[in-house]
Amino acid sequence: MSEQSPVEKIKIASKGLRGTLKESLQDNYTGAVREDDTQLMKFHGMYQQDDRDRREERSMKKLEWLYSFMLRLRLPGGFLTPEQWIAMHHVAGEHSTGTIKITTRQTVQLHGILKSHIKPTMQSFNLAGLDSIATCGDVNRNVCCTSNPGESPVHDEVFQFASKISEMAKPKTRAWYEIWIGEEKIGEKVEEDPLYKDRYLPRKLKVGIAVPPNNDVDIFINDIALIAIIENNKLIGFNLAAGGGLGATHGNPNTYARLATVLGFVENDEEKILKAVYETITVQRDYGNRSDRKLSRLKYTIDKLGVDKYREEIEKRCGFKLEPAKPFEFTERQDRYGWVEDHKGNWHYTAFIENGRVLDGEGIDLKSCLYKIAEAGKCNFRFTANQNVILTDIKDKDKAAIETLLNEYGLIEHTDKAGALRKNAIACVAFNTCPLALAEAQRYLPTLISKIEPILEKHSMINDDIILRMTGCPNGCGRSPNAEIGFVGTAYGKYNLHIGGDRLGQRLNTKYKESLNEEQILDTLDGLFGVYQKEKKENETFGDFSYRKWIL
Amino acid sequence: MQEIITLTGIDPELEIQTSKVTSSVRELLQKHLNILYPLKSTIKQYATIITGHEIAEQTRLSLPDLLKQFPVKDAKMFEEVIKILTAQAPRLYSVSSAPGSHGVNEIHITVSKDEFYVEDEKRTGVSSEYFSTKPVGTEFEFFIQKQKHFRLPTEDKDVIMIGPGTGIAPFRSFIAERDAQAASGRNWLFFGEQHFVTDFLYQTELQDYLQTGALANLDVAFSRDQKEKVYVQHRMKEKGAELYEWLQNGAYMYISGKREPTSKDVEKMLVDIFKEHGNKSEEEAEKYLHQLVEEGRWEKDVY
Ligand SMILES: Cc1cc2nc3c(=O)[nH]c(=O)nc-3n(C[C@H](O)[C@H](O)[C@H](O)COP(=O)(O)OP(=O)(O)OC[C@H]3O[C@@H](n4cnc5c(N)ncnc54)[C@H](O)[C@@H]3O)c2cc1C
Ligand code: SF4
Repeated sequence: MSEQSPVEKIKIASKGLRGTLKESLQDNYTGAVREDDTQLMKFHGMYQQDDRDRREERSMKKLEWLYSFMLRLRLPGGFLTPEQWIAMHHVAGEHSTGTIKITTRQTVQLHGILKSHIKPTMQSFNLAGLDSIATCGDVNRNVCCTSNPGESPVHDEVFQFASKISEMAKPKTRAWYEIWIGEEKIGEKVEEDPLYKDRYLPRKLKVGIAVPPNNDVDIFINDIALIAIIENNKLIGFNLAAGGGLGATHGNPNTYARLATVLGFVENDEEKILKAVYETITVQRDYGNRSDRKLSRLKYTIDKLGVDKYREEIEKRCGFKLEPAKPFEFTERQDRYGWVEDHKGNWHYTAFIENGRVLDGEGIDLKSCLYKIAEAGKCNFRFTANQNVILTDIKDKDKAAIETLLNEYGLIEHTDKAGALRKNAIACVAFNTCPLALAEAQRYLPTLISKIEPILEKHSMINDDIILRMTGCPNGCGRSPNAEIGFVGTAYGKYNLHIGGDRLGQRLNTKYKESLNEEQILDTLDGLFGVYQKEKKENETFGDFSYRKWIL
Repeated sequence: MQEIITLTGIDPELEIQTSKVTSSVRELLQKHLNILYPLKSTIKQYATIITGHEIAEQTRLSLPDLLKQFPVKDAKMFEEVIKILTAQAPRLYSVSSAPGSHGVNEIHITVSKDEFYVEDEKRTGVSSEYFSTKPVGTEFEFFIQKQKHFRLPTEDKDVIMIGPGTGIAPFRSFIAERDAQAASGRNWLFFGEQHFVTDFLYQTELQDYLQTGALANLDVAFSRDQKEKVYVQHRMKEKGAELYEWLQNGAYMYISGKREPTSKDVEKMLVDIFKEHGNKSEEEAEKYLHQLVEEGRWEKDVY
């Protein structure tokens, strides 16, 4: 066996993810934590970052880089009560950059939290019944679930599984409470953790749940995916899929994006469903690559073992067999903007939040608007995997009041006005916070879209729900590999153009052009759209057409 | 200077002899004389020259302001005023480099821009402002004033340095020198400023010293980063036991920086620390501090 990666040693030596985090917090001459602790911080829901735009200036001043922490909440299925929204609003204002960032995994990230502000931040969240346990690191991350209750009568039943899986796969250590909240440590012993043991997983692991016919959660990008099977408005069970993941590394041919493979069906029996998920995790835990972190996601393990062997291993551990997968059909992959009524007569409003950034200014006071709505206390908040927010569970009698607030701040107009391309687009954070970024994404995509829109207009495609995504590197955080049009940063201002992904997220795209600058991007798209408009078949999406025309 | 010439109508090229130098009015106002903050005694003399105006006892104004509020009759009268102005006093700066570390051809100083308000108007100190506006490569005239007392002990002794703000200057020099000597004694620095993110002077250098062991301890306080103000003396109190132990071990302790209020507060805190960790009465604690002074182990360079 080749040598284990350094992170493995750090995990094992960490005494239940404690490491020297307490000491790191006391090193008040630096805004960073000790080197090994930067790894452990992730398991507590934080990434150490620095403002890359300011490195040079600070070095000249003999100041260290401007370190701060990104904190990510654990919100299974992306759900917040109005009280929790209010708490989060205040924490964001007092301790972070102020921007509430909705992520592509239905949770929230706050950026720019200085080391000295971490404890107060965590303590405020804890008081609001929130935590950031295991939202980064080599563990099961935030569990995603189709977010709009208006989608299906079984939504609520399915949604419960998000929390159950999250609880089941939460590390057993009390370290989070000890370090950040100040809970007393009981005894010297490190807690037993039958799932994670002392090595945790080889790498991050994502679990998602989808309620067809909407694939808004992009289910096939998850390491483990549950697809609800509904017959006669009843949840009869889930198809279990595994092996999704979009990350790859430039120049490393052993890495690749992969969509999850459906393994089989599990009937609607809570114990069995949880067991199947649990053992899918343990197989990855035991067989995953622990020496090369670039090859350690479940998708590589499943390809190494073979799908059948992986399934057998799960079945052996479960003590039951997976039934043959049931048929299912997705018909779309986007959020249902505006008002939707569910089978119980409750209302849900999906608002468009560009790049998931909730802040005031930039044309609309989103943050104040949502705060006012939270204060009114008449709805819950749900995040979508497309980084939008749904005001949910609104009683018919309260709908008008919410609508008034939405109009007061212009959020309805803002949502209606945004073009289809913009509404379906995703960009990762990239510069100036992501250390791996090679090119801009979130800060640049809105401008690029404004330049693509006239081209769409010219080809009468402005209302097409084309899925376009951009990432600052091939890691795929913004899910560009399964977009109809994907941009992957290669250097500052340069992007590879990928096309041929389908609209529903069931086929990956393929690299079509390398290292284009903006002008070349616009020229290329103009050409592609022109051909598409001339030659497409009826109802053929841009993704399907480009696959047939240029990729096959 | 231009303002003064306009206000008084004096010929800038006129040669005048003052107590120290003979030079043109332009040169005198620009280089030699204290026109921005004349002494109280100067203002008193000014009042006798201009006659006809009462100038209140405690008035301190810059010369242009003075000329505006209490004008001179003519250029001739202003010549008299020039003769009573005192010379621009030298500004002293602690050397923050060390020959052992930075070479014998370099002298570093650490200057903070002196900003203050005169009747709600923001002003800046003459010399610190002057430095901040000059481009790299500007030549200055300066002299070196020798320090008799504020000096490092032998290399085997431990050193405790308390240097908030620009008080860090001499200690940057100390630490660099001790590092160059590979001194066996340990070094401990207390530093304080307002904000961690922007005001941590020499942060990366100090971190490197901590890494290499040239600094044994580095304790910092940033007063404005949290609701309650935290200063160096609070960090000293937190580390009181260790600090007392170092002193018992023969450590030399230094403070540099602004006299008010820090050095007073630090001394008060030291007495508290001696009481708590040395089991001393107030009187004994003060005596202990006094004894440190006698032994040359408590040195101050405050301004
Ligand atoms: C031994 C020693 C060591 C020192 N070491 C350092 C060091 O390492 N680094 C450092 O930065 N400084 C140091 N200083 C202080 C330094 O010498 C200067 O005093 C400081 O830089 C301010 O000088 P200035 O010319 O900028 O301000 P000045 O123009 O001299 O003004 C000084 C003060 O006078 C008052 N004042 C001036 N004009 C007016 C007016 N018109 N009306 C009302 N009030 C006024 C203000 O309170 C102002 O803060 C040291 C001083 C001493 C004695
Ligand atoms: S895709 Fe790359 S650049 Fe973008 S957030 Fe992920 S790692 Fe960073």
